[in-house]
Amino acid sequence: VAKLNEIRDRKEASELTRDPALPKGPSAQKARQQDVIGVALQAHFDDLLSEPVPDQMLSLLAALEARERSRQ
Amino acid sequence: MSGDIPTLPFSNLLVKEIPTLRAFAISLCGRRDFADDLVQETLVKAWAHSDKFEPGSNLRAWMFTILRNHFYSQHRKQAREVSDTDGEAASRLSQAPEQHAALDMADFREALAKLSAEQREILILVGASGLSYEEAAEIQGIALGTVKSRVNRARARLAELMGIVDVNEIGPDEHFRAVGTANVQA
Repeated sequence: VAKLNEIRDRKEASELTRDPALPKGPSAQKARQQDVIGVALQAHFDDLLSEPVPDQMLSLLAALEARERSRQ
Repeated sequence: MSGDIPTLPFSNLLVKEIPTLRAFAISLCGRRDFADDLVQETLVKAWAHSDKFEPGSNLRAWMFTILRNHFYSQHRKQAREVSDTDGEAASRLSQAPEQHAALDMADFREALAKLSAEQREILILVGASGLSYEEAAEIQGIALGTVKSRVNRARARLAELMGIVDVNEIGPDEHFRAVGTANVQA
């Protein structure tokens, strides 16, 4: 069991240090920072999208419909 | 309260677009109360001009166009104003880029708020709203090439405000292109 744990620990350690999605070097770092803007823009927008629709907007459309009906 | 719920097909189409429209409005003008007024005015206009909407065409792009045209007609002057001052920008630029490697959303929103409305608009249109560059060009009434250069300028400004170096200022090299490809695949 101790041997198994040792193997597992070594495996975890190697997975922690090896990350193919994160290339090294200054221009690679800058490219990641650039991409961070794209990710943040999307996250910002998605946060807003998840907010509930204000009731007053539904009431407004219902009122527009009612006005339309009364004209017909 | 059944009278408070819209039931007509065109209303239902509009209702589905409200969250996106509202997210666009808040991003554009930076104020919730003001953004909600803007969305309501857009709904009234869309309703009044529903005969001008071609069924099957892009309702989202059509409503975005109504909203942003209304916004700029009312607020032409402040749309181009940038709330940031040189002093504020300088203090942010003096921070080490490493501090921003892991980007905090609060920092991001602060920087976004410092852009002009036009810069926020273009970044949101092509970067978050799900519209294409071509649709963004149509909404803004400008050429496709102009959209691309405005996106680049806005991204560069945002990166500058956040104290990170924008790749557009470095220029493409083989290393960066390789990284870019890797990111697309990831």
